[in-house]
Amino acid sequence: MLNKDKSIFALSTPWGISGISVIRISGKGCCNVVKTMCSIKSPKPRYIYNCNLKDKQSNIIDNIMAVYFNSPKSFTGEDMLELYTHGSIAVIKRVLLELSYIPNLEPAQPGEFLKRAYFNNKISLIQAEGINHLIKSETEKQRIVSSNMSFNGTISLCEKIKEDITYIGALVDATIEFSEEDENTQKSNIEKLIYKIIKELGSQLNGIETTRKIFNGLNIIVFGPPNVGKSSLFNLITNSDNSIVTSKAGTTRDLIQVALEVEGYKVNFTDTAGIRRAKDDIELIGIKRTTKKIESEEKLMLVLSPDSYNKRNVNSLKDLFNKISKKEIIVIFNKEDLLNFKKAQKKWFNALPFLKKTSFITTCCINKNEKHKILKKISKFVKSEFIENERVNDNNLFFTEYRHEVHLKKCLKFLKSSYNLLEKVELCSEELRLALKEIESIEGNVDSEIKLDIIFNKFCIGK
Amino acid sequence: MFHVKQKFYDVIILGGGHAGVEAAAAASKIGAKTALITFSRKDLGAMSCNPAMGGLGKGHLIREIDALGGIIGQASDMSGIQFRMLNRTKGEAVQGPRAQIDRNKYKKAVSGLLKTLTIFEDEIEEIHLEKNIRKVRSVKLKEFGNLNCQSLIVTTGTFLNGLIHCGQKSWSAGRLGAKATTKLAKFFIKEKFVTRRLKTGTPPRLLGSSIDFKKCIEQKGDSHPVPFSFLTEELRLKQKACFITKTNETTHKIIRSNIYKSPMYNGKIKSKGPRYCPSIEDKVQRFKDRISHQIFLEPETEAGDIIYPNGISTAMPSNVQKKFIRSINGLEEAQILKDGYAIEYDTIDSKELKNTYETKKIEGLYLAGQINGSTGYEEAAGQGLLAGINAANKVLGKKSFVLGRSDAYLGVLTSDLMKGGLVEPYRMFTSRAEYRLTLRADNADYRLTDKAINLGLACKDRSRKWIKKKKALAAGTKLLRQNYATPNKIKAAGLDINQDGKKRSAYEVLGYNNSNWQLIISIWPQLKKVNISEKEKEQIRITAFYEKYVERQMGEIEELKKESGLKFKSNFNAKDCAGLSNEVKEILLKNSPKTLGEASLLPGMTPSAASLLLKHTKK
Ligand SMILES: Cc1cc2nc3c(=O)[nH]c(=O)nc-3n(C[C@H](O)[C@H](O)[C@H](O)COP(=O)(O)OP(=O)(O)OC[C@H]3O[C@@H](n4cnc5c(N)ncnc54)[C@H](O)[C@@H]3O)c2cc1C
Ligand SMILES: Nc1nc2c(ncn2[C@@H]2O[C@H](COP(=O)(O)OP(=O)(O)O)[C@@H](O)[C@H]2O)c(=O)[nH]1
Ligand SMILES: [Mg+2]
Repeated sequence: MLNKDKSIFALSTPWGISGISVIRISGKGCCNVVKTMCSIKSPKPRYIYNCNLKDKQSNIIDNIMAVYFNSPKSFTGEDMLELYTHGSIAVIKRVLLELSYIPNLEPAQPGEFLKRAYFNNKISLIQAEGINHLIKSETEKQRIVSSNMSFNGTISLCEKIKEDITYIGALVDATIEFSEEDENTQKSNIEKLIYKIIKELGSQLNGIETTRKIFNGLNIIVFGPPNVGKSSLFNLITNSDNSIVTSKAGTTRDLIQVALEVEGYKVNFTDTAGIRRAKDDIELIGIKRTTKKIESEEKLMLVLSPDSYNKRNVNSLKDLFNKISKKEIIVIFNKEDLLNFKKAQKKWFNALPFLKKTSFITTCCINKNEKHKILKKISKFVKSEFIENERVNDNNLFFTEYRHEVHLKKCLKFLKSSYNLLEKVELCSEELRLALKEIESIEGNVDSEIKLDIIFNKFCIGK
Repeated sequence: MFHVKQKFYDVIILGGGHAGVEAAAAASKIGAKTALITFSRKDLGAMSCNPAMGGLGKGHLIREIDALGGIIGQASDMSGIQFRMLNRTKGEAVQGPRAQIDRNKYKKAVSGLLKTLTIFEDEIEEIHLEKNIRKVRSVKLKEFGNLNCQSLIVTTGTFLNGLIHCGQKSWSAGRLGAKATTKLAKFFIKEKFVTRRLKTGTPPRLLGSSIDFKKCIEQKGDSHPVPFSFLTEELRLKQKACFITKTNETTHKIIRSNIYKSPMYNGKIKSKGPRYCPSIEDKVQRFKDRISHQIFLEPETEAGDIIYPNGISTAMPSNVQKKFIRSINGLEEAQILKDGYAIEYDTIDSKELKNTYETKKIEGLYLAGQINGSTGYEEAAGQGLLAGINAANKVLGKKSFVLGRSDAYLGVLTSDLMKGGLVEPYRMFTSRAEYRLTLRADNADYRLTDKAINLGLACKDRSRKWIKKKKALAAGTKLLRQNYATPNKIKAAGLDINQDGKKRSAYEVLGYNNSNWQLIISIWPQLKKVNISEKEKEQIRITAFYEKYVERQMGEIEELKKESGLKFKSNFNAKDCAGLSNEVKEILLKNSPKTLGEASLLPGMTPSAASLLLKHTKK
């Protein structure tokens, strides 16, 4: 999997125009690069050099800063070199090309820096996973979970659970080894302790659901009859003109999705085609997709407007609601600037009685000056209706991966059977031993090769 | 018996303690020309401390040693005066056979089992190596002079630089009444072995007739005593009772007010004793809130004239011992025959050893028993047996014999010891075995006797009995596996099982919690005629009960084996392996293991080092 003789390099900052770009090199080849390209004979570790970076013909490519880290005191544990060039696409291209000419230097595979750090015991598997998440984090909540994983939170929790299980195992074993002595460990105490960990693991397993939502985002589907202003609202919320707005019904046909951060949470808004009997084949496909999407997601935002109140629209919606069940729906009455707004709103309420049970707000999209106010109103609405019940304030989130979930579930299973086997001490102890092994697996000491490969292939390049 | 004493031997054993006698018995059975050298014939089978064999973990070891053809099990059966299966109410996997032993009869039994062995009553003063290679050549006996040997197994027990403490007094001794081994200690210093001083202790012995047992609680042995050895048909000696009394606040007060007189507390003894076998001084000082500690009054002989008060090991001065003993219920008039004492002795760090018990430094030199930092007769006997097998096999050009952690407690013992760096005396516990449900006392023969036959360690009687038993178990199991019944029918017989319509085999049903043969026969009357003994039936039931767990463990063991088979890359260099201690790196460089398994067996490897290496096989 890893080849020690090869050194690797990659651009560590995004490809594109920027103030500076950082190129990282890891492995024995660093010295070679420093010598030939930076003209520094024996670099002082952890010292910032300002130097000219030269190509093979000794032409200056760029004036840069360079830092050399000597093994094992580096991120990967190998010799490392970081080059800070000007953030120019042409410079980056040239430097990467020059690097590839140097023998035994190769472009890094995805996640290879992290992988080397892991194999050289600079970071644990959990930390590697955490750093990977941290790099990709966009929202505050994502950052918090990733930090937990990268900077010891998860490891400490695992260690704590391991310590607890080991402790219980010791209590159970004490009743085996020292049954002749008059020391007696209380069974009820053991019972309580196991129960405590079971509860903790249960809550962590629930937490995985939450972390998943934190990383994948909450999905909110904007839907309703044609021409009610769905796309207008969508554009307003997402601060874009991703969705085409016209006065013609049936304009939106594709599902358009935009992710954004609401109150620290990632939220995916989807704009959909209006629900009605389609006029042409393409619109029909669009409406079918909409219906399917509505059926598959939990959180729906229904948009209605006064001018869209008519029998056909009412019936189409009734049909739809007959098909779907148990969704969280909130309603936006749009176009409150129209004259008959209040009356029409009442009509909608009467036509669709369940609306009385849902929360709603009223909006108007056409006044560009009010945009900010409306946006705030909608954010507040979305937050109170959809986000607040998702353990927003839960900072007790430590696990993200499917791999974690599998081991936690197994661990929980073993703990539960240990709980049920308290009368059969030797079996109880065996279950505890297996429970412990599962936590060790999460920490990444005993994973098999295939698992490791999958884990590392998910990581992005150059980080 | 008269033996012509010769000057050349394949294997010489130094010491006639529990390690020494097993080593000698094994080596000579395998066919090596063997001699045992010990101070006195009376040493053979001498029990330095408590008059008991077995217990949890320790009983497992005895069964395993017996299954491999060792003598400790038979000797204990011949001299046992109270047999008790510990944890009888718990599962079989954690039941351990234990017995009170008549000290003198045990010695006699051991001597009887070693009738044909060549024994020198002498002291080994020096060990000589070959001229240019680091290999054992000969030993120098104080009286008899030089003896040549190919292999030497050293089992000095507590004798190496032994120093007894009792109150303010201390003197050089191997145990009470025996002189210490001091000359030999120079050899280990000269050869730069890493040594460590450890400590243990023993309680005073009491005159049986001076104790008022009426004031104590009687503890009888089992009504149906179960022997240690798979060969023993019948236990002959009269079964005796033990008695329980306890210390009280007066006792504790006496000890506390005199604590400065105990060598453990006034700084005279610095070395570590076993935590699980604390002296009464320790118990009183460390567990201040306990108002009393239990004491078992155990007979040392069938006649009951000497009593061993288990639980009050002490190194207090004689007069304090007398005073606190007499504060105890039932012991008001007790007469002390021998004072309790503590003993410090030299051990060799067991990381000096290969997993065959041969030292890494010197070819042909083996160490076994308490010298390796263990404590206990059974632990010593187990090491003696393994060292004896390997020393003989090496001389005879046969393969070495190493048991793994999943094979036996003997394997757990070996692999734990080989990690080296013991800071306190090592005692076996069932908790040390991760495969505890597989490694049971009841199936030791199943796990090991075929190996004993292959090694040439099983006598005719053992082979015959085992082969017969194996056949009976196989036939019985097969029959049970062939008979099925519906869950309905099984429930009707009184077992509450899941009514899922799935038929169960009689074997499966026998393995359920609370199941038994009577129940099986009520469901399948045709099984009444199976022709196997009650003992074998019970064995099948136990096996069936643990089978599901054993299978799961087997899966785990397989996985481990697969991992063990992982090869290091050809360019793997331990030096580049970050996170490993320099010591482990050195071990790897010296031995250049090809697989993870080989690496993890290397002495000095820690589990965490092994898991770091696991990463490297995957790179
Ligand atoms: C005071 C005391 C308290 C103990 N307490 C406990 C306890 O609480 N729990 C427990 O499990 N175990 C205890 N033990 C330990 C137990 O007795 C030993 O673990 C066990 O006997 C060790 O067996 P061994 O074969 O290694 O050594 P030993 O039984 O000590 O035998 C050593 C033999 O080597 C011989 N020998 C030594 N040097 C030479 C030489 N140079 N030449 C020839 N022969 C030599 C001696 O004569 C002796 O026969 C105690 C021992 C003592 C002395
Ligand atoms: N009067 C009024 N018109 C609106 C409002 N919001 C959207 N519109 C108009 O309604 C029409 C349909 O809007 P659009 O966003 O495409 O609706 P969709 O079909 O539901 O996506 C466009 O002409 C918008 O300008 C509003 O609040 N008030
Ligand atoms: Mg639209």
